[in-house]
Amino acid sequence: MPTFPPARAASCRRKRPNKMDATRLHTMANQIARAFAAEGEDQAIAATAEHIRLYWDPRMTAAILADDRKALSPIAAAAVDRIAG
Amino acid sequence: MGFERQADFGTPEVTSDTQVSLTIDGRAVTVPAGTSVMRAAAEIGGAIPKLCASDNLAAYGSCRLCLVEVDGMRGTPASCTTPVAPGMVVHTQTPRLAKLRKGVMELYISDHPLDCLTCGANNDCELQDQAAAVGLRDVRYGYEGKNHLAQPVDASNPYFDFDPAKCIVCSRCVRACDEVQGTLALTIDGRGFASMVSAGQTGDDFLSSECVSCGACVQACPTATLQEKSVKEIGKPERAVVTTCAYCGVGCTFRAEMRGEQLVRMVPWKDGKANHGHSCVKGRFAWGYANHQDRITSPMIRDSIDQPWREVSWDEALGFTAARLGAIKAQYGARALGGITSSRCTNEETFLVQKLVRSGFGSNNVDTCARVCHSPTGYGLKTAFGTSAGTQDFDSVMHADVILVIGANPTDAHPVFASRMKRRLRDGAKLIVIDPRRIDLVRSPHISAEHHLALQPGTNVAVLTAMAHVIVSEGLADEAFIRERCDWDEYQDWARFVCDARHSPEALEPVTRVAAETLRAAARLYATGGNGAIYYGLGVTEHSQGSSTVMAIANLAMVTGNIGRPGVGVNPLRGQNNVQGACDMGSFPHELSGYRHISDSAARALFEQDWGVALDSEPGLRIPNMLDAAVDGSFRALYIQGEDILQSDPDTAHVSAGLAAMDCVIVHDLFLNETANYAHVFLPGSTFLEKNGTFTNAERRIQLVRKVMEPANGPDGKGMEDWEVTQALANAMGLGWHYTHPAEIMDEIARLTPSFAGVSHARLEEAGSLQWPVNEAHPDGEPIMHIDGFVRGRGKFVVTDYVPTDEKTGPRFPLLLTTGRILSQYNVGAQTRRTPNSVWHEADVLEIHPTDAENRGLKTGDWVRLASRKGETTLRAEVTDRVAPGVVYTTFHHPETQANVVTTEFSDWATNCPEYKVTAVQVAASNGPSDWQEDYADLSARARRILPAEAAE
Repeated sequence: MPTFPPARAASCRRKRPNKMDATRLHTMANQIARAFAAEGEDQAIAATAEHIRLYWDPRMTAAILADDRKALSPIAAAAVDRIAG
Repeated sequence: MGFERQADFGTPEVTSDTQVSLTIDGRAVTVPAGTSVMRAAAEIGGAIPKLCASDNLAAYGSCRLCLVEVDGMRGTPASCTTPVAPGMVVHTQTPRLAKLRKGVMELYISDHPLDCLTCGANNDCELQDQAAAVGLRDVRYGYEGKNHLAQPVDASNPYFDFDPAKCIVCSRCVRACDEVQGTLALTIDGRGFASMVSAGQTGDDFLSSECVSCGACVQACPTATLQEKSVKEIGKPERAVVTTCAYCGVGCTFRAEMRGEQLVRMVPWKDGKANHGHSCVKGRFAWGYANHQDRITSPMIRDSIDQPWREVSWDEALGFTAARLGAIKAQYGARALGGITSSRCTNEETFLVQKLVRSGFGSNNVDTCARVCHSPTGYGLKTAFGTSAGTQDFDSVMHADVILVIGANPTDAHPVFASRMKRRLRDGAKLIVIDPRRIDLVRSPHISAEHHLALQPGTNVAVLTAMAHVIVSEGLADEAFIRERCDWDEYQDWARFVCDARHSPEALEPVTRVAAETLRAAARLYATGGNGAIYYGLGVTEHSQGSSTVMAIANLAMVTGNIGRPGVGVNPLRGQNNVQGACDMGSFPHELSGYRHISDSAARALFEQDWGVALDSEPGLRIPNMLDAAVDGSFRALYIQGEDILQSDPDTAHVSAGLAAMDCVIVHDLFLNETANYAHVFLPGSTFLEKNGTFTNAERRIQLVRKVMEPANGPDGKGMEDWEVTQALANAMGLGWHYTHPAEIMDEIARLTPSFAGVSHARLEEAGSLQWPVNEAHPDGEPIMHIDGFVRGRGKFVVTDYVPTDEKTGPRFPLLLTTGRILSQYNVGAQTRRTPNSVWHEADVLEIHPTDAENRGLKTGDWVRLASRKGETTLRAEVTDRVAPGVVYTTFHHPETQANVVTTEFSDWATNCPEYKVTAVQVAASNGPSDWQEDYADLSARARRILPAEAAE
């Protein structure tokens, strides 16, 4: 009787599912920062921080706050710092 | 309402400032100038015999039955082609006319089978009615002469037959195809006695012709020549109930014509303000899924997804679910639970699901499938204008002079609206299409786009910014409008930005692959061609810059002053029937109904007071975030109302991993959909025919959905509408809800949502439909928004910098895949695949340009492997120059293909709307299904095993 391994059948095996680790959040934060970048640095930092505050679930915000800022663009890093207070 | 056909006034309504008074059969009547005598007579209750006239078609004057006598006028003019004149004295029933009409009728009947008693149209036939009206008693010519009675029936269309023996060649079907649908598939072949209705070329039948099976010809036919097969099978309906279609966001209203609880046919309702009596193949014909054998009608549960399903009672299923949810909440906290509301369900039903999540589960983890389609519209238009909705009603298109269609394929995805748009285009409006594919609208009968900007997928923002560059730098901006209506400082910042040389069409040509001259010409046309209206779809939103593109569109409309009057505006074409409504109802994790942020303590207090429970003030998870969090272990239970995220959401491997990681997945649906392979609880749903409520269409129009049959999900009338299922689950969790009708839910919505304050079922019954906002300021709703000023105050110009997507082609994946829809199938196909619509589209195919195909040795019909860095699938190729070199295209209607195995995790920066429209892929010849497809077929078969219910003791 074959067993039923959902993860095997469901995945493409070669690919790792993208976990909600900070990598995904870094991409999101950088994207937001890039979208606001044309407004100038100060404004972009404020807008990025505000966007995260308005649209991110607390566990996502907590995860990015807890992680280091190395993978973040300068605007995204400053925005995360601002949220950290 | 009993079964009577809707009144037909013979010729279309005319609007005019001048009124004309005349006398018809001794009765005075006043009508707008330009009205026909026939229509004027009908408006005072007269009935001039007619066969070739119908009030949705231009007067034709061919049947010669509607002749009248007019004092002072020679002869007997046809009343359909004779306009009224002041002081005219008309006689519609005289001995002379009676003789003429009887003679005409004799000629018709001499070449018509006399099988009325066994005919499908018996007692519902205009020819029969007119024979009675003119008092036909015999046919002097006999029946032995040359005739057409031996013509074979064309039964090729799955929904209707064409029986030429019964045809009177009135041309109504041909004219309906031309004027109403705009496909021009039909014609009258031959001359004189040899005249015959013909679909397509010689040798074509209805199915092989260009016919799109919209049903306009069937509706127009005055005999049984073109008739629904269902009427032939079942018989004449005995009652009709007006309801709203549950397919796309156009929101057509139909008469569901019934015999008892059996649906005989759906006929578009002429008074429907969205569709004005027109329909498409889905709404009119593709409703057979409601009684399909795959429909699950009993609740089912299982402890884990490797077990077969167990059919159980509602009580057991709900008890099991409530216990599991309770245990998860106790162990992991409220934020481990969430729900997805369905954009296919009613406003009342989506409202209840988000209420259950917020007040029962205790989290804000609620989202809806708008996440994966129009969430950027919500964000973009709210930022620019202040409301998350389109600015116009559909009728507005009839006043447009320049129509700009970007990232939308209306003839396939919004066919009934497309027919109106095509009518306006045939009448002279100019068309600009911005789309990587040559959609049908670019060139179709009597329509040719002035400009088709076949851009590289992913460069929408670059193209729109370049258009703005042309408009501002060439002095075409409407500065008076901007000064009056928008923030002038923001405009100047934006104008400086777009005027930068790096945003010129010439500088961006290498990126967009749109010839600079073409782009300049298109921009000039939009800015200077009169009323400019922009229509857009998912080709705008489903990109990593989806929200930026929506704002770039808003910028274009504002800079040219194309906002706030008929014929202009920004018009998102919504995918699903109630995607606007689902968004309005507070289905997003960050906002309550009416788009009020969850952190707004005043708004939250209103709900807390009404619901008697404290709400979480922090935003919840969006669908992709839920799946991330599930893989992470912090999200454990999901209630999914009428959505198939496994098939519809991107990066299938990630979706399945997320679902497989959860402890309790509840699927509430009609069928065991793909997502149900990973579910622990299945709650059977009800179709739109089985429920009461409201849908809100793409033009913010709220319309009633009326129940015509009992829900199939329970025995002996104990079935439940979907809102009742959600209520039963809430009550199993101890919430104590006691709604007895969706009208009570709407009252709660109105109480808690300022833009719906004036909405109630009673009000909708009375008005037919209402376009929100409906409140003190707009008691009858608002067809066109931002007339005297923007909802947010001043219109906001947002700088939209083009940022290339991270999804890039390279040596391994050199082509760009973009995905879309076709006419006959709908979304994941759960409904339409279970209807004969599959004759038009039985499998997804991959469109590939001849050059790319040749390089790979591929021809149409070959199996090909479609691979991205995410996964691979196989399907058959179709070689076509509809797509540009370097671009391939497919649909996602079939689970065997699952195009989303290939799509990526990239998403819109502001809303996480997935980037379905750009995936770097490779295409190569293949021998058959991929490993993934074989594994998945195997999994599906095992996951769908059902153990029969145990016999009662």
